[in-house]
Amino acid sequence: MSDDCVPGPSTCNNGDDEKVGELKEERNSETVLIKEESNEDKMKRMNALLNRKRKKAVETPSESSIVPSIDKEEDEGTKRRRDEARQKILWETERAKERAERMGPQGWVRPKSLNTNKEFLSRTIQSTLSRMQKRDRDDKSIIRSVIMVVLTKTMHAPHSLSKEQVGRYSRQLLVADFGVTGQERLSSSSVLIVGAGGLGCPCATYLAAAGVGTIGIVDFDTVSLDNLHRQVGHKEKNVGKKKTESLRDSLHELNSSIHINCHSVVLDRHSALEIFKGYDVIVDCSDNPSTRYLINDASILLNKPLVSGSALRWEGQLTVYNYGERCPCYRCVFPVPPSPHLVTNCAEGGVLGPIVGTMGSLQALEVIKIISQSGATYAGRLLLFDGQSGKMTTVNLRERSPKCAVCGPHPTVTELIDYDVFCGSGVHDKTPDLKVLSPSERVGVAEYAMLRKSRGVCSSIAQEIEGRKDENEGKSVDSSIDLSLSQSRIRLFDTRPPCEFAIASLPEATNVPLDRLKNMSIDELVKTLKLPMKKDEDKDVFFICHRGNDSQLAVRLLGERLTNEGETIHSDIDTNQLRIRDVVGGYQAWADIVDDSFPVY
Amino acid sequence: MATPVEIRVRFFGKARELMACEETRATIPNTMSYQELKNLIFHELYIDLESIESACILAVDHTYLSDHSTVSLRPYSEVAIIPPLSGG
Ligand SMILES: [Zn+2]
Repeated sequence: MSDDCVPGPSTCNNGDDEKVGELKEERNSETVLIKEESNEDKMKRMNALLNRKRKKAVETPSESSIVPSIDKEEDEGTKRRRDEARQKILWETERAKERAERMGPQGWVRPKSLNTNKEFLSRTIQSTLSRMQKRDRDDKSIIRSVIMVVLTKTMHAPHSLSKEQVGRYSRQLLVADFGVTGQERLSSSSVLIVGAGGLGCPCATYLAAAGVGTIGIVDFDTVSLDNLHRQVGHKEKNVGKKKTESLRDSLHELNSSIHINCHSVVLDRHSALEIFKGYDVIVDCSDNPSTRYLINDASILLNKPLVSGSALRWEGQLTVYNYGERCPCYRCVFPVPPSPHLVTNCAEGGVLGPIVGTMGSLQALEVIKIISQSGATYAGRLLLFDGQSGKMTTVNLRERSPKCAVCGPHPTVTELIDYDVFCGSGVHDKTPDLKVLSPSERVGVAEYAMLRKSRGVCSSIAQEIEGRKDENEGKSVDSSIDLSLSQSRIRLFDTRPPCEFAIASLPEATNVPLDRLKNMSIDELVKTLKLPMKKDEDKDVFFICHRGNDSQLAVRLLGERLTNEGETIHSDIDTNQLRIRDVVGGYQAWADIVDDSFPVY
Repeated sequence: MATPVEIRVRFFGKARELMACEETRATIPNTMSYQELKNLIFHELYIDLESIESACILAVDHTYLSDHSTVSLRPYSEVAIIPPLSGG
């Protein structure tokens, strides 16, 4: 007998069928009892059956007890008998399952897995019957065959997992409260991962490894070299390739038996619902507030659980939204988006690989718990992970808010909106460009390069040393070059944090982090910034930072302080004569336009 | 009648960045409304955090504070100031 058209995985072959055929007659009405049993138990049961068969060999084989008694109705049409036989088998199956359900705690299959088994059994029966009908065989043998097939399937494995799956996932099948049922649910589920970055890579990797049937990946971006320290699903050879495809390839190398969908688009109000509706669970592995609100609203509108993770620097946050009646959504907890210039992203603030790795792995675990319906999830709780101090704090969140704009009883958001407008920042502008200064308060990098050259400042320490060599006409140069000379020629202040200043800076720059600048008294400011106090001194003061945002804030801050408190400074010059400017676009622009050897980060 | 208690204040995410510290202590009344606590934190004690007030959640002893709740603090209660992280 061929198993080709039996849906679901098969664990038997022709030889097994015959063997089962021998045993079958002894099993009467308990034929389709479903039992989870150890190999030892199985052997015992087999031996018992064989012994009973030997003992009963002389007795009349009571075939009528295992097949519907159709002999008396030989006059009726074949079709009717077939229908009755089918009904009888289904009824027997139901009875057997009811028994199994009642016996749950004694090691029989637990009720929660019965749905899968029910479906599986009826599929097996249906397909066997339909094959039987095509052949010209008498009804008894049809029914016998059906029972044999059902028996074979249920005896070897009371579940839908194939032998290959059992082998591959054995170590998680062994985990109590996950087990076969958990695996069946995982293998037939679909999960959408939004963002193939630092969170998405570990999350997708663990879910693929665990055998989630279908994984969708959303990302519009391509792999870049500075992703690789944390986005461990991508490889060097894939720099420049689409992140979705790079991650898909990596997941398929790990587990070729799962299905992976790539959605290489910008997730927005137009595309989100169409993509989301095909998945059971949504995972937020995105990297900006605008996308986070979009993902939340789409999940609420389609009523799907949302596993949310985020990370920055040494910290991570994790929770599950919209999972259960009282579980809040992202908007219930954070109804107001943070103002864009106060959002620090990973490109600005940095992040350590194992931090996103931890959060992404925890997201995968939440997904597994939701799908397998085992374990307490983080629904209604927020995990705060502090990798630097090693602290994990869990905060009990609020219940669903009656005032929530999207999940409350009177929602104002009933379809997706423009989230870039809502958040005041977009998906693409990972670092928003501030424009707080007028053009006269700014200087472009090219202009600054000319200016500093005209004042004899060289663009690197090497050139500086070279220059001094020339000046000294070959005289030996002291290795501890005093850079104060160049510093005195031009006033450039670098407002970045010290860890960024340590990566690279212009030789004439003095590090005065913006945070420090903010807390200085006016006297400290004047002293630190070496503001010109004499008439013949240079009136220029420049600020520079990574991309040209903080430098503008510094110019504004200094300007305001001098205007408000300037009269308290005893100075020969009017502070209004100072020209305080920022370098447009900061070191990024410097590297792009003036000096491509300058390290970018 | 409110009496002063010393509490621990923990900063997360952007709040930690703005305060340039993880944790501090403060002595504040042991009972007040949510709004009073909010004013105290964002407008009196930690003015640097004013800019993120609307986006933060507050938790006392690991429990979210909702709009109209009354805050009760014990000695060394932990007040957490939690803005959302959005990186990933
Ligand atoms: Zn809500």
